[in-house]
Amino acid sequence: MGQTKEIDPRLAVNRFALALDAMLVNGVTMCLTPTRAAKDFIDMQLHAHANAELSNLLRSVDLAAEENSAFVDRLAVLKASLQALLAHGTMPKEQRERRIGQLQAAYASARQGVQQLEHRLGLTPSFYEASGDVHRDRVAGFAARVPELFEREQVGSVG
Amino acid sequence: MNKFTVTDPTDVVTIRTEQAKNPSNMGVGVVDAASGAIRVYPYDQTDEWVSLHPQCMAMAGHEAAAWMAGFPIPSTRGFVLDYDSAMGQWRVVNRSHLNFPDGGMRMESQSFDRVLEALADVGILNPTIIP
Repeated sequence: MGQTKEIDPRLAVNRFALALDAMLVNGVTMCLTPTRAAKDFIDMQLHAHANAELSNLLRSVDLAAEENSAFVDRLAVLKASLQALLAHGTMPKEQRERRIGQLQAAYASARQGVQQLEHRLGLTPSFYEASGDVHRDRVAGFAARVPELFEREQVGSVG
Repeated sequence: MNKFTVTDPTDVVTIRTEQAKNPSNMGVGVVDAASGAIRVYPYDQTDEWVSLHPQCMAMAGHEAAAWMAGFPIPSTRGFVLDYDSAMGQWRVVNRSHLNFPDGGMRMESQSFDRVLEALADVGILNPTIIP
């Protein structure tokens, strides 16, 4: 197990983590952006790209089978939650909250998986703790604000 | 109050062409509120940029678009430009996480109005507007 392949593990992990972040942020943005192509966007742009970056990661480091399947599962839950939330405006509040909870949990779990992988590979600092990088704080803040963002859309408030 | 300008009008042609091929390849619009410059990129170009520049640690979408345009993140705001080739209809959506400094996913309405004016200047007339 470890850094045994030709692609730089640091960059491969960064790329996968960025695809994961993009899936959350751009996926929620799409849920709040009523367009005809939103479902395909989540599938073909976000989920497909995150899976491609996971494949790239596999070419860089040796992932245990359970690590790989956990990432695959989390990405699938993210996709399913986002696609379900495209109908957030018409679904019962309890269902919307449950889907948002699934989305947040899947993102947090995948993010934790990235951190565990970084730890095992000795990659420091973590992608999520890179010094001076305001971007990371913004995504963590975004994840925490997801329920509020959907709630604002229900009441139609500006902001 | 500075006027906003689409600095490369071919951006709009590119979005229309790309979405005719792949409707989910939407336009990622960014505006530097300080300079008034606007750029719009197909989403997959932002994906490609991230893959080529992972050291920048920018996400695909509005964040990468800001980097590609050379806009400072703090003064950049975002929107979505979507072209329905079957209907020949543009849609401009005021949503981006880069708009959080304005309070949420929407940029200030005055800024969004100036984005719409700039898009009209490059031929996007009577779009469907999601404020």
